[in-house]
Amino acid sequence: MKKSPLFIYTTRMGSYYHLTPFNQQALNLDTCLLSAGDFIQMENTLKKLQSETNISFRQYINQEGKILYMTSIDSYKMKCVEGLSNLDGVKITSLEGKKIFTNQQYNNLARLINPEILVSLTELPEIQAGNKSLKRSSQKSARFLKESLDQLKDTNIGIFGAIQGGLETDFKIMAAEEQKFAVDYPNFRGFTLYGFNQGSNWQQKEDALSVVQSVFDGYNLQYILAGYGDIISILWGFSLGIDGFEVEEPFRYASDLKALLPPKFDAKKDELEQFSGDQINFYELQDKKIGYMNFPINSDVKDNVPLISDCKCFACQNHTKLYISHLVECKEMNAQVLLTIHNTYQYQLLQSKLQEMQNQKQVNQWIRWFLQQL
Amino acid sequence: MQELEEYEIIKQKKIKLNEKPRPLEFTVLATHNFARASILKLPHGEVKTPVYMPVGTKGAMKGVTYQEMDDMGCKLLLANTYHLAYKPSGDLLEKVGGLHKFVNWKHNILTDSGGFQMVSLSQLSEVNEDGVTFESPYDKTIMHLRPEDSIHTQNQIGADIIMALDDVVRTTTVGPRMQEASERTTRWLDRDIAAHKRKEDQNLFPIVQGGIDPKLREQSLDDLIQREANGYAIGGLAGGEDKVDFWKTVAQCTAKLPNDKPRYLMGVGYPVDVVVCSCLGVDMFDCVFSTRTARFGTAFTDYGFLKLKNSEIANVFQPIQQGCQCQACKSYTQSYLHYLIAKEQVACHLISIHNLNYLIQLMLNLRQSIIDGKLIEFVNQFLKKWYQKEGQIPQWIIEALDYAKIPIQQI
Repeated sequence: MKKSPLFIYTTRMGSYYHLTPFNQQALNLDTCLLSAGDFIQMENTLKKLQSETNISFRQYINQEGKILYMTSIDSYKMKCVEGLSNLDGVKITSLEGKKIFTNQQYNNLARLINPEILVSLTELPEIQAGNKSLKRSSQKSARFLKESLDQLKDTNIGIFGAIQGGLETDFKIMAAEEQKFAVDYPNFRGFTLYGFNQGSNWQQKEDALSVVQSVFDGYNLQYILAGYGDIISILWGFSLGIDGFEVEEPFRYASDLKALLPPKFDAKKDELEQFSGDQINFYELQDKKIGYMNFPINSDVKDNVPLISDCKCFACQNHTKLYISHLVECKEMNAQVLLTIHNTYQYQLLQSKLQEMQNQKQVNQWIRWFLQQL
Repeated sequence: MQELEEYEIIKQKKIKLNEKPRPLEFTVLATHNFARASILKLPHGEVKTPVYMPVGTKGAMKGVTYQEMDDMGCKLLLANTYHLAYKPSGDLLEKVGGLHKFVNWKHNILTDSGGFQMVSLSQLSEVNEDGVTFESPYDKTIMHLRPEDSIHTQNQIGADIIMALDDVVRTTTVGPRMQEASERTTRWLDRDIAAHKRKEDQNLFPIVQGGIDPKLREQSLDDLIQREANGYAIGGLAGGEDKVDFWKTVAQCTAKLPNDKPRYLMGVGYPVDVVVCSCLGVDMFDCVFSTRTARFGTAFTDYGFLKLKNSEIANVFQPIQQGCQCQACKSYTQSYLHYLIAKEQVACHLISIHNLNYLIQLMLNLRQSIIDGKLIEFVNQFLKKWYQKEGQIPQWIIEALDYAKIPIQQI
C-alpha cells in the first residue's frame, strides 16, 4: 500500500455520497471503494466503453488518479451479498434485485474495472449462521480466491483474500488456514477482514485478529479492516498492525444527519511522552466513543457558529450549526452535503495525523493521548 | 465578452451632491426593438440582464451549494418569504443579520412575498381586504397574513429586491373575482409601500395583475406605474393559459412599463419562454422547473429536453451537452448519469447544476447577441435546434417574435 493507514472511502458507482466534483475539491479523497453490485447490470455498457471509445473506466466514473478498491461486500448497503448453495457464486444485490453472480463474472468485471486492489469474492454468512454455513462460506471464499489469483495473474490487480467467520476464533483460523496457499502467488497482497462490525467487545476483536495474524506470522502481508470504519476501530486496528480501512462512517453519519465532533488531533510533543508506546490493549478502548451532534438542534442565535470552532473544513468555514439545522428541518439535501464534507474532513485529519505519528514512531502514544480526551 | 461602452456610460452619469445612492440602478446598454441588454446594479453587486434567477425557496438550492451557484456565475437568486417566515422565521433572520449572512451568499437575493404559495400550498385559503387567512402546511395552525406582515418579514430577511403582496388568483379566472384581485393588489401595494421600512437598501417591486384581460391589465399597469417603483413584476401568468394570451399579455405589459426600469416576469423559466419573452422586453425570470425536472432526470440541451432515465441513454458516452462547462458535463457522460440517477442523489444535484448553468449561459449569450447586433441570428439558431426533432416551430412563437421584429424562418 502506498501510504498507511489507507482509508478506502465508500462510493456509489464510483461517486462519493452527497459530493459533486466541486465539493470534493476541498477534500483530498484519493481512494474509491467500488461495490460489484453497482456494476452488475452495466457489463454491456462497460464492454462498449472499452471497445468503442477511448474513455477509460476511471475517466467514466471521474476517478482518475485514485486507488480503486473493488469488493463484493459493501457495508453501506445492507445484505448486498448472500449465500448460495451453488458453489460457483453468490447472490448479489443489484438495482434489479438479487442476482446470482458467479466468480467468473466477478473476475470478468474486475478486468473491465481494473482496480489496484480486488477483494476476492466471498460469501457473507448470516450473523447467527450455523457451522455448516460458515464452513461452506469459508471453502467458497478460498476457492474464489484461488480462481481470481489464477485468472487475473496477467493483470496488475493486487488481490486480497476475504476472511469471514465473525469473531469466532475457530472459524477465523479455519478461514485463514484455507487461504494460506495464496501467499505463494505473486499477485497476492493480503486479506480483508470481515466480521469486526459486530458488537463492541474489544477483547473478542483482539483475539479474532490475533489468531489470523498468527497464521500468517512471518509473511509480509497487508490487512484491511472491512466495515464501517469508525474512528475507534481505526485507532485499534492501526495499533494492532492493520494497514487499511474501509470507511463509510462519514457518509453514514451525514445521511443520519449527524456531525462528527472528534477531540483535538494535535498534541504537543511533551504531551505524548507520558504515554506508553506499546500496542493498545482492548481494555483501553472500553466505552470510548467519538462525540457527535444530532440535527436538528434547538435553534438559537448562539448556534450561528461553526460545527467546530477552529475547524478548517469547507462546511465550518462557510456555514453554521444554525444554518445546517435549518436545512435539516426543511428537509433540504444540502444538509447531507455539508455534513458529509465536515465528517470526511475529520477523517482526513485523522489519517494525516496517524501517518505523521507513524513517521515519528509515536503512533501508540498518540492514540493513547487521543483516547484520553474521550 | 465585450460590454458595449458599458463603463463609459456609467462614468458619464453624474451624481448630485448629497444624493443618496439608490438601491437600484438600471442601465440599458443596447437594444433590439423591445429586447434590452442591461446592467442592473443592486446593493450586492451588478447583474447582467436579461437574467434567469435560480430559486432557493427555503434558503437552499436543492443539493446545490451557494458556492456552486457562485461558481456558475449566478449573481441574483430567489428565496421565498412564505417558507422562511416559518423556518427559520423572520425574527431569527433579523437577529443573525439577514438571509445573506445566514446562508453565506455574497450576491443578490430577491424574495417573493408568499402570495402565490399561500393560495397554492395552503388549505383554507381565504382572502379579504385585510389579508389572507390560511392553514399553515407545517403545523396546521390558522395564519392570517396582511401586506404589512409580508413586507415586515421581507424587511427582516433583507433581500435586495422584495415583492409586494398581491391577491393571487388563477390565471384563467375571469369575471368579478379577477377584477377584484387586480384592484385589491393595487390597494395592497399602497399598504406594502407604507409598511416598507428599508427603502434605502431594498427595492419593492409591485406586481402587475389582471390575468389575460387586457383592460384589467391596462388598469393595473396605470395604477402601478403611478407609484414609481424601482422595478416592476409581471405576475399572474404561466398558470395554464393559452400561449397566445400569454405572449400578448407580456407584450402589453412591457410596452407600457417604463423603459428605464427592470421588468421581472414571475414563474417563467422554460428555455423557449425566456428567449421569447426576452425579445418582448422582459429582463428577469424565475422558475423552479430547472431544478425540479432535474430531480426526475431531465436535462436541458440545445435540442430540447433530454430524459436521462431513458434506456437508450445507457450507452451514450457524450456529456449532456457538448461544449457545456458545467461540472456535470466536464466530469461525466450521459451514460454514467443514466445509471447513477437510479442509485445516488448526487446525480440529481449534477443535473440540477447543468440545468441552472444552461439557463444562466443562455441568458448571457442572448444578452451578448443583443449587444453584438445579432439577436435575430441567435434566436433563429436557438429555435431551429430546439425544435429540430419536432420539425416545426409553434405558431405562437413566430407571431410573438414577429411582433418583436424578429423574423423567424420556419424549419
